[in-house]
Amino acid sequence: MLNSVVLTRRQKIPLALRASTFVLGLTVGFLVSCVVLLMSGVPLNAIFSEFVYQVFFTSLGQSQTITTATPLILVGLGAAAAMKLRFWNIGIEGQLWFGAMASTWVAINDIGPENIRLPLMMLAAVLAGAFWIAIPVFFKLKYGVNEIIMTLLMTYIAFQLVQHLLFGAWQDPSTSFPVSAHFDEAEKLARLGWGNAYTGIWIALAAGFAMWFLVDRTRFGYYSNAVGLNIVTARSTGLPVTAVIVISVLLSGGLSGLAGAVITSGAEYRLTQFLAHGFTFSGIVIAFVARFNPLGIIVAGLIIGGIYTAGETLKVFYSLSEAVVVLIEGILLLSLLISDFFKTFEVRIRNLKGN
Amino acid sequence: MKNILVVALTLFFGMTSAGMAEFKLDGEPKIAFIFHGAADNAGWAESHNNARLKMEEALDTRIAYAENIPEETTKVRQAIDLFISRGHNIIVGTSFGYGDAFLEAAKQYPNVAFLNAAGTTNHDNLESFYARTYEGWYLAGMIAGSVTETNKLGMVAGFPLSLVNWDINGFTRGALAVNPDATNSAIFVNTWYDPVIETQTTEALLEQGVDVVATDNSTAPVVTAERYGKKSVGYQVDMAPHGPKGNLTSVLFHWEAHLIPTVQSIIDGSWEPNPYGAFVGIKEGAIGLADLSEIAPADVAAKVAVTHAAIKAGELTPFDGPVLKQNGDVVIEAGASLDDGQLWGMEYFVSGVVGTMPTGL
Repeated sequence: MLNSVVLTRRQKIPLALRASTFVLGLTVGFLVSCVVLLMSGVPLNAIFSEFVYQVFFTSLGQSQTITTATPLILVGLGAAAAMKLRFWNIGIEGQLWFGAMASTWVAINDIGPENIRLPLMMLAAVLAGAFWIAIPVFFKLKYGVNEIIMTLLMTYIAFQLVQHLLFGAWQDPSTSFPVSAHFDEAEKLARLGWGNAYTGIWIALAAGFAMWFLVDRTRFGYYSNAVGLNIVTARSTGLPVTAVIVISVLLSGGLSGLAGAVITSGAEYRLTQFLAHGFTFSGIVIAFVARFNPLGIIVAGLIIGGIYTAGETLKVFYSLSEAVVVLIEGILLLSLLISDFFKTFEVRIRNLKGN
Repeated sequence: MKNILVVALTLFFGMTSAGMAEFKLDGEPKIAFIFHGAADNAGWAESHNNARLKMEEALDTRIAYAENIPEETTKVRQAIDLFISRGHNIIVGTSFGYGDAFLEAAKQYPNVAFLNAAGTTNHDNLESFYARTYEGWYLAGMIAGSVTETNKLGMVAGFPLSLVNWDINGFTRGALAVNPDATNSAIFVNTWYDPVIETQTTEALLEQGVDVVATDNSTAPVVTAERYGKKSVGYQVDMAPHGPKGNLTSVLFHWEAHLIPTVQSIIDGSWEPNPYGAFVGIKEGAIGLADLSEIAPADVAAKVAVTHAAIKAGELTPFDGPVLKQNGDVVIEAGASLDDGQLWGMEYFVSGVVGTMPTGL
C-alpha cells in the first residue's frame, strides 16, 4: 500500500481556517504540555484551577503578558522587516544592545531638555540600532559578505562594548557594580497602573500599525513585497531593489534598537548586562509565526509573551526546573508552527496503487 | 581616593529610607526563595538552596522556590508578584541584579518582608545581606600557602568587583601569613559561570607552575586541577567530590546562620532591618571551611583552627595593617584594619597578587 502525500499551497486562507488551525494548534500543544506537567508531579486539577486561570484569566497574569510582550513585539517587527527580504538578521540582540546603550547615553548625560528627553532616547536608540546593522548591510551589498555570520558576530562585539562601558566609564558610581547609574524620572516610561505594564506597549503597538501601513498601503511596501517574493524578477522589472533592501534592513536594526530603549526606560531604568538575553530567538520565532505580517506580529508577540508568562508561573507555582519550562515553551511553539503548516498547505493523501 | 571610599561607603549602605516604620507581617508566615541559577548548580544558588532546606527543618514549614529567574527587572517582579498573589509574605532573593526589583516591590508591599543576598538596596521591609567571604578565604590561603611546593597559587575569579577582589586579597594574605614566598596569580574570566573558559584558565595557570588553584566560580578549576594531579580550593559549596584527591577544602556559605534567626525575628515581630544591610561572617557562623582533606598537614589544621577562633572572637581580621597594594602603596598602617567602607571600595590587589587589575576607560 504505497500512499503518496500531496501538498498544495492554499491560494487563499479563509479567516475561519486561520482561526481554527491556530486554536487547534494551541490546544494540542497545551494537551501535550499537560502530559509533561503531570509527569513532573503537578496535579491535574491544579493545572486548570491554578495555572490556566492564573495566566489567562487574572488581571495579574494578563498585565504580565503585556509587560513581557512589549519588547517582543518590537523585535518581532524588526526581525520581519529584514527577513521578509531574505536578509537574515541574526544580530537582533546586537542592535538591541546598541539601542540600549544609546538611550542610556542620552539619559545619563542628560542630553536635551527634560520634556523631550524620552523621545530623544528613542530616536538615539533607533539610529544606533540602524547604525549597527548598516555595517553588515554595506558589506553584504558591496562585497557579498554573508550577513548571517556578520550580524551574529557583531552581537558579541556589541555585548563586549556594553561590558567595557559597565566595567568602566558607566559603572554605577553609587555601588561600583557593573550597571549604569539610575535614570531620572523624566527618562522613565510611565506605568499604566496595571501590574507592571508600561507605556512602552503603546510604542510597540504604534510601531506595529506604522509597519502595517508601510507594508500594506504604500508604494514602498509594494516594492518590498516584490523584492521579497523574487529578487531577480524585481530587479529585471526595474524596481529600486538595493534601496528597498537598505531601507528595510535599516528599519529592522532601528526597531531592534528601539526595543533596547523601551527596556532601559520602561523596565530596568538603567543599562544592565542581562537585558538583551534571548531576543534574537524570540524575534525570529514571532516573525515566522506571524508570516512577517506586522499586525500578526502584534498578536504573535502577545502569544509568545503569554507562553513566557506561563513558563514563569510554572516556575513559581510548582518550583519546576528550567528544563521543564523550556520544554513546555518548545512544545507550544512547535505545535503553533505545525498548525501554521496545515493552514498554509492543503494535504491530500493519494493512493498510488490506482495509478 | 578618600572621596571614593566615602562615596562607596555612604552609597553602598546609603540607599536607606527616612524614618524606620515598625514592620508587621501580614498573616501567617509563608516563605519563598528566588534563585538566579538552578537550585542544584554546585555554586551560589545551591548554597542558598542548602539554607532553604535547613530552614524548612528548623522552622518546620515548607518553603517554596523558583529557579533560573534572570536578573531582569520584568522577570523578577513577575516572580515576586506571583509569590505574593499566592500568599507568600517573606521573599528571599539571591542576587545583586534583583536589587532594583526588590526595592520597587518592597515599596509596593509594605507588609511583606524582603531579604536579598548580595543586594545593595534596603528599605523599611527590605534588608540586603552579604557575607565576609574574605575571612574564609584567609583561612583557605593559610592551607594553600602551607602545602604549595612551587610557592605559586592561582585563583580563577569572576569580575573585578570589591566583593571578588577581597576574596583574592584575603586568600593571598592568608598564604603570606604562613609562607612569605607565596604568590597568588589571579585571573578574571568575566563571567560568573563558564566551565569551558574556567577550565582553559586553570590550565594556563598550571602551565605557569601554579600547584594550588582556587575557584571563586564553578567547580571547573577543581576538576581541572584534579585531572593534572594538582591541588585546589573550592567555594560556595563543598567541592571535595569534584576533586577527591587534590581538593584541600572549600570556603562555604552557611546562609542559614543568618537567615533562620532573621526570619524568626520577622515572624516574632522583632525584626529591625539594618538600613545599611547585613554583613555577616565567621562570627555569625555564616562563613566557614569544609572539612579539611587528609592532605592538609595536621599542624596547619591546628593553626587554621586557632586563626578561626581569633577571627570569631574579633581579635584578628584578614586585613589588619599594614596592608600594602601590589605597587607597595600603603592602604592602612600597622595597628589599624580596613573598615567596611574600605572593604566595599577595594578596587586593588594587595602585594603578593600576580595579575593586573583591569581599569575602566
